[in-house]
Amino acid sequence: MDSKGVPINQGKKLKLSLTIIFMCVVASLPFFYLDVNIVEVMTSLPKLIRFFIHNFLPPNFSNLRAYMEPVIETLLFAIVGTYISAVLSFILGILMSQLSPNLVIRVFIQSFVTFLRNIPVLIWASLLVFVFGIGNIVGLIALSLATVGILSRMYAESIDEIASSKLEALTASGASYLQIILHGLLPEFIPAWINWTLFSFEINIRASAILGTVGAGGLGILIQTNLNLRNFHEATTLIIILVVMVLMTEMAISNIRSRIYH
Amino acid sequence: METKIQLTKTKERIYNLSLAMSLILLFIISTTLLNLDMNHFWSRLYNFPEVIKLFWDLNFDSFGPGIEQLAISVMLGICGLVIGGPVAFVLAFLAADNLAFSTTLSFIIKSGVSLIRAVPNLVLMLIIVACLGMGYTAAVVSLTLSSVGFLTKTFISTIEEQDKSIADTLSATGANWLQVVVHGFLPNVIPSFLVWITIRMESSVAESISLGVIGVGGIGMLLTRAIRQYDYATVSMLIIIIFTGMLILELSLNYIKKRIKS
Repeated sequence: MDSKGVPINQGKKLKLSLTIIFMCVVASLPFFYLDVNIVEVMTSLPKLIRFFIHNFLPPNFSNLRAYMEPVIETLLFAIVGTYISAVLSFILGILMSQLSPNLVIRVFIQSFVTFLRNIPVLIWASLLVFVFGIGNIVGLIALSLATVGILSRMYAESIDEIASSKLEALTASGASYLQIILHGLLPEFIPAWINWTLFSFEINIRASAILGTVGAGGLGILIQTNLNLRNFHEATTLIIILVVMVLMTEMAISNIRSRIYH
Repeated sequence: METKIQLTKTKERIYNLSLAMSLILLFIISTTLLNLDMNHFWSRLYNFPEVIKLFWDLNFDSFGPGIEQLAISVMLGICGLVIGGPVAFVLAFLAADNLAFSTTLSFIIKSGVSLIRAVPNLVLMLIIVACLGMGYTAAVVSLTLSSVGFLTKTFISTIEEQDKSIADTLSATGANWLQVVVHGFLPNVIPSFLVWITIRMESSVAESISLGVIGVGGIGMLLTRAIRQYDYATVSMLIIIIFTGMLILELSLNYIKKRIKS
């Protein structure tokens, strides 16, 4: 009789080693297929920095006045986009969550939002420019659509959390659907709502700057044009402006956040 | 007799009302300043049903190349993550407040990473292409930088959430810095790191697809080409491929996340 006993963990160790081997294969295969040399990638960084210092500095500040307008435009895009997506996402979020009035609506909206969310912003922008032509509104719609995709999901998750724990009491006391939403959901939801909306504002500022590259307005197109024309010093100025704008927005938002959460 | 009970104090009501009003005002001001070209947009919207009809057929000839380019985009995303992950790992441990042995180094790393994150990835890509030329290597370098930016920040926040007393206790028993890291922090931190990596995987692939739009390769480039040629059928086919691909990716990553958390 075997008195040594069989180790229980045998299966687990095997599984772990297999997973790790699988991961290594998945990780290295792309490099071989695409013919990308890791060493080359690593050495590109110093090359990049040298190129940058040589060609991009010092920045050319002469046209600063002219750039103010695109900057403000980028900012406004982000603001209006955030508003629109916050409102739309709220409605869609409710329809997507447990509080949805109807299961059919819930599934339909969930699929619609998944569709919005899984297509990258830039692809949306290209598509919309393709259909509607170049213009301000197109960029705004692309921005809102992509953000709505992300936000609705986040809102729906928060709503589900609230719904499962706190709203039973209200239903039990006989509140109507509208009353449950207005007096039950809303007050609890507002902190999460503010948090996610600020987060989406950060995303929107960056996206707003990029949308210019597909023709939807903003700083992006200026940066790309300057880079294409090899006007590196001009481009640096624009990039610096962009970076400053993004960093200031981030600071402002952390400020607001700490103010709200004390 | 009916008695109405006011649920919110009057003072609070006035505060809420004025807050709502100022937010609405901000929205109105931003929208007017933005000068949206509504007429042009409405006329294009009028043609929308006809445009949709054009999108209705699908070009199945482009299915093969589409899938291949999608695979290329995914692989580029993987490459960026494979290089970026370990780099972020090292940087995060060097920069986290509760671990760092040099506050200057920590500051440099944190600012560097903020800088990378402040520049939109598309702009970063344009700079890199200006230096390294179009091609897979440039794409991988760009994706690596974005991954490093994202992962370093999230890794650092995970590490900083850990209790400092772990480090203190271990160093009190005579462990050096490396031992504190490996035996103290690593076991607690690895599950969260893996979750962040799976989250980043999705963003990395989305970025890779978007970057294709400027022409480095992958399905984004195929899409832009189809758009330029007004090839509606191919465009719809490619959009469907992108959406399905991202959806499958999201579902598989969700599965992996659940397995990690268990």
